[in-house]
Amino acid sequence: MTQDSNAYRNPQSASARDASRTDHPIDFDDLSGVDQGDVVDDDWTAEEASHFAAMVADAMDAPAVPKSLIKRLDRGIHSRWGSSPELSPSRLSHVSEIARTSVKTWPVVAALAASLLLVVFMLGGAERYAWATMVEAVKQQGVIQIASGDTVRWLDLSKQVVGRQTNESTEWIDLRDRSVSTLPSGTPSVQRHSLEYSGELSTELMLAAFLLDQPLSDETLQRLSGIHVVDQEWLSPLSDESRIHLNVLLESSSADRYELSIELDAQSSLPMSVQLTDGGSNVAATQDFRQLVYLNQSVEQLQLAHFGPGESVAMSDLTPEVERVDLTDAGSSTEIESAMGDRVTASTDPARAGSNVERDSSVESLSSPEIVSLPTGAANKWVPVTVVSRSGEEVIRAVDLQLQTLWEREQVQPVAAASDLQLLRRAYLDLAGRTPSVVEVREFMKDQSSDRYVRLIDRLLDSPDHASQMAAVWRSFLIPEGVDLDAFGGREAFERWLSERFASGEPYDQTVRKLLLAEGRLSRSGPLLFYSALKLDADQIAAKTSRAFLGMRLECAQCHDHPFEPWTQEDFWSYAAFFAQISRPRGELENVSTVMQVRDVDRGEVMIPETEIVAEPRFLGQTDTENDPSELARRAKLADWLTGPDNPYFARATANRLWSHFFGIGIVDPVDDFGVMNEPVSPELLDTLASQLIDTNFDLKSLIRSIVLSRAYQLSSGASLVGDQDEQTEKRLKLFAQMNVKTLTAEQLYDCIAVATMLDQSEANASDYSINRFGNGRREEFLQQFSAPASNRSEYMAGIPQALMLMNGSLTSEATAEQNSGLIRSLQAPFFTNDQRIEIVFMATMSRPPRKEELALVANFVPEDASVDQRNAGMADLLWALINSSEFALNH
Amino acid sequence: MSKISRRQFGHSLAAGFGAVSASGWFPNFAKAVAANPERKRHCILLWMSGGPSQTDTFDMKPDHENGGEFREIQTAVPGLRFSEHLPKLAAMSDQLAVLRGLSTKEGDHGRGSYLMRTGHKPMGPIQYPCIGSSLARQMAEDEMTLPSNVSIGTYRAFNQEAFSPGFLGPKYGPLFVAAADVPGSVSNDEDGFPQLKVQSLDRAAGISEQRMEQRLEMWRQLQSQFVSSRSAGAAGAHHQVYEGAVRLMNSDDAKAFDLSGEPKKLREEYGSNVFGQGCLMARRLIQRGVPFVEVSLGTNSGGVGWDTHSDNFNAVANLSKVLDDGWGTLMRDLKEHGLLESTTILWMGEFGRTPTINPSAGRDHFPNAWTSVLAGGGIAGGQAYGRTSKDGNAVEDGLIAEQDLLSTLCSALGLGSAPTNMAPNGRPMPISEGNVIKDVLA
Repeated sequence: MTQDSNAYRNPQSASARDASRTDHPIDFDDLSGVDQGDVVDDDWTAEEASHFAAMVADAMDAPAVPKSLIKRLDRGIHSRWGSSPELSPSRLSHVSEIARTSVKTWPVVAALAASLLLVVFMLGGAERYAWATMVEAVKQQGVIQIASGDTVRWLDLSKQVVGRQTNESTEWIDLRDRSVSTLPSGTPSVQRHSLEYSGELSTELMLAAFLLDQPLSDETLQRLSGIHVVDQEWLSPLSDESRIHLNVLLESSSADRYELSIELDAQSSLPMSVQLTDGGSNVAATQDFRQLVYLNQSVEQLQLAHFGPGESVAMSDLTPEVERVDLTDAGSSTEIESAMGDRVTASTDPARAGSNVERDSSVESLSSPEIVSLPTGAANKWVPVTVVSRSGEEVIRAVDLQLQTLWEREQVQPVAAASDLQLLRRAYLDLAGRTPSVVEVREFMKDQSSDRYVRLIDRLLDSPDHASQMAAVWRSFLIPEGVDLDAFGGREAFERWLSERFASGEPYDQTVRKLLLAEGRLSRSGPLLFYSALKLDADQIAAKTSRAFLGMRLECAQCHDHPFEPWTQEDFWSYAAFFAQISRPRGELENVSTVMQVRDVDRGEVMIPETEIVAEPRFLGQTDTENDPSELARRAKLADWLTGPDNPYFARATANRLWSHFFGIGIVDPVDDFGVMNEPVSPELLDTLASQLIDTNFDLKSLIRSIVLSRAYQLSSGASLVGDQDEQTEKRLKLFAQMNVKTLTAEQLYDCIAVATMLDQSEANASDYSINRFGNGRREEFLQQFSAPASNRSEYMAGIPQALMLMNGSLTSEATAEQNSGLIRSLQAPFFTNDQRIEIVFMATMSRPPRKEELALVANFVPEDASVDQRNAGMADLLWALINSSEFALNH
Repeated sequence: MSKISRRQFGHSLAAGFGAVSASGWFPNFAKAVAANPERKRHCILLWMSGGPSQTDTFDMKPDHENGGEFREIQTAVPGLRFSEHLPKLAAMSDQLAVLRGLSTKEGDHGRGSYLMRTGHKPMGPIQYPCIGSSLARQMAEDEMTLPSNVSIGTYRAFNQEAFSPGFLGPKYGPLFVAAADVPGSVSNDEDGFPQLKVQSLDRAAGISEQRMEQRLEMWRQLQSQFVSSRSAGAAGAHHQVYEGAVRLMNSDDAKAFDLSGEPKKLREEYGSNVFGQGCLMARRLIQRGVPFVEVSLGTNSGGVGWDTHSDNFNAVANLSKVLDDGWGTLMRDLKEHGLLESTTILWMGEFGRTPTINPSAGRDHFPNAWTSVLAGGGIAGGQAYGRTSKDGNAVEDGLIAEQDLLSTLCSALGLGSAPTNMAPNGRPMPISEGNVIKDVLA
């Protein structure tokens, strides 16, 4: 053990402890120089000496004592006793000398022991480390890997799967059904059998076997059966506060003892390396610490990667896919630590880490080190996103890899990639909210460079249409249809404000802050419309903000505890309490008026309905009431918490919302229903995206870019796989292995008709075309008739009335009739051939040239020798037919 | 409107797309409905926009100063008395169950409309479907040509959301006929009857029948490739909805909206106004299997409608005449067609009106104690359920709230007391969870 350590030990285990062991960390070497003459040592019997040593040991049996406290103790002892043993840590050395030295100084030491006990008592709340907390921490993790020599072993404690790969074979054991699958190297066939061991398979047993480096055979299980901790102690090396040394003595039912020395990460309590110091008669002790590596992959992914049916995997194939905690790179780990503040981190002091371990330098991870605590299970227990700094390209690769492994695990075959022209249309609709104009289609087709899609994305992201499209998307969930806001400037004013925010590239957390902290008279509209729509009601604002920004339907806990999720009624009202101190007339308001204003006041509370209990403000997922003593208004405190990088929900909810916008369904779907009942399809994917969001300071564009450049986004929406079943399609759609066909929003539909037919602007064929989404009465009217709930875009929600309107209504008539359609009139130029005209109509509507058979089909209706009037009518009919087609009305 | 190769259209669609063929089923289906009226139930909501006065219609207080100007009359059921301005309904009172103990908590038009029409208070983020959409979702049959939810003479200005399909989506939203807020929805025909129009059901101006046929043919051919590779999700749904719209345009069923073939005498009995003609249209729609039809009376007819803050008695007398002609004739007409047994009628507004008469001879909003009426199929008619105090200000017996009313309606329609629809999040949402008033069920 190291020279510079300070003290530790667990009181409960004193009896089992050998007081004379040589690694006691406290050395009272200098005590010999203190008061030496005053202490009688001659008649100190051996029995007394060992008793005393045990006492001292007990006294030391405590959590790490801070230096400052030791100094204070020192001073206290000095003033009381005239001199002090001077416990300054630098003097500490081996404990082996305790008994010898203390014999001479025993009254001092006794007093010290008593004082330390007191200190222990006082420090009751300090962090403790124990086998049990480590086991808990491991359970929260995915796969752990230990590699030594030619053997690689894996353990996933939560899923109860153990794996082992040697030169001879690969073996997976599922402890839930006790099945063993073995794939001998070089053979294609997997052998399966069941464990014979019928005893209990406790978590302790599994972890112990893993840490003891024992193959999980019947024999091992029998031998280790009933294993439990009989003694443990821990210590925190002074040189490295991030590391804890935990020594554990385990004993099995058959009274075999094993002693493990484990290095823990101080913050997460996760084991970083392990050494078997004493294996009794059964197992040879290991000479060195073995490094534990936390993998990004799930155990299923691992199994699939290295244990695919009919596939032999050599060790060399394994390594590149393994992502591990890289303990060598001092620079990066410090960076991550500072970037993450006090968030969960596995970064460790490189100087301390596994000095005895040979690292395989060929292991290069795609992503940086991380121990992930993924967003699964009860949302009130989620921890912040582990932020991993990746470049945009690295995020895209990570997304692709995570989906690839997801597909492999779920045995889903992704469909073929979409064509570039399909992507053109899709990207325009998703990013700019409209189809491309004919000129834009042509320009794209002319561009033969290999990166034309990437450049298209970058151009669209910077276009004004992108800002107004995002504004429409955000407006749809921030202020739903059906709330009359005309007196306050209308929904449009809100959308305009949002559009300016998006156009300016303001970080998203800032925009949300502005929204949450809007102040002033309601007549000033802008972000205040958010408050107008919610009538300044604390409970309505609470319900809306938790949905929109945290992805949670907290309002289900408004009247009673949430039926499915862990949220209590108190959680809801404690959250709502943050909005209680806004100026607002009392009682239920029928309507808000433009003269009312939003500002923070120092009064106002919310009560839990049908009780007399005033709800104190408390952040979600926290157990204590908010107790920041600053003068900040409650709203401001909430905004700080809600938009902070440590908020476990904000970044994930935002990333999920964006993903859902582009894929039609979310990674968690519905997007605002995070929780146990609705687990993410891939928590890893969700956190990769959320991590990028935080890492880029909430730059939505970076995240959008990652999403639309991912492989999944570029897959086709059509399936033509042979022998395809409906269930397979459904599965592919759900797992993003096929693009969902999305319905156009009312806004998109109008804008597409407008672009295609050159309805609102005669300049529609300019290459820098952008659409005017504001102040268009005809558009407003159309939107009113088509508005649908914003929820599910993969479902076609419109009905017969809307279809009738699109077939026979005035908008379509005006847009397609040969007398007034801008497009049809532009086709009248005599130098066009009919085929060219048909091509233009197709590109205007479908964003692609017609297929050969389509050209022939239309030619049947509009013969080359038709009169001008007949031809115009034919083109109008074609335009009508295409505007009413499914291909036009959907984003595919 | 004449046919646009409906048969051919349906056939080719079925071939390319695998959907149910539209051709040939209708006559058989109609026969089946006619032969077995119990096979399918229907609901008609008579929506009294503005809030009708219970004291001047079905819960008279003739011996109290609150009673007002109207006299009571005896109805077909001894002891059950209505206002003198409802003679036709009085004659059919054995079909009516008058619920006099309604008590709710919303006294604003917008909020009250939402409450009564959805069963929920307008708060929180869930957009509840209006009762028409909820019931249509329950009762619609897939092969219907006509929409499952038709709303006639609708006036939505109090609260748009109270008329929306909410989370069920536009598919179950009402098809609006002669909506008061859509210009050109009503015009007078040559006989002076208001002509109630379905928006965009007719071909656009200048498009001949032959040209429409050509357009649809081109459309169908261009559709096939895209839809066949994506038939499962939105593309399939889009195509089906269009198919349905085209079928409706071309079908005999669309004639349900054309009242010109009805005998003039009958049309006159229904009343030459939107409500009366709407009731006639309701019968025609029910006859063709539409599960839910709503007909509005009140603010949609111009003026204040039932919102009689002043000059209550003249207004209510006029409205009562329209109501009595339309509803009374509808009951008789349904009965003559053998449809009354399978059609449950609910009469209600967003709230009642104060029993106390204000200085402008008006009555104000009053949700505390008011009246609604259930009639027809599944209802034990000929009774008043519940009682208000002598002055009409409080419910003394048979207190019911909005959820109870809707649950009772659902039971009368044979759907059970709490049929559920799926919200988009996949969670079942009961239409209503109130107590069923068993006394008024047949």
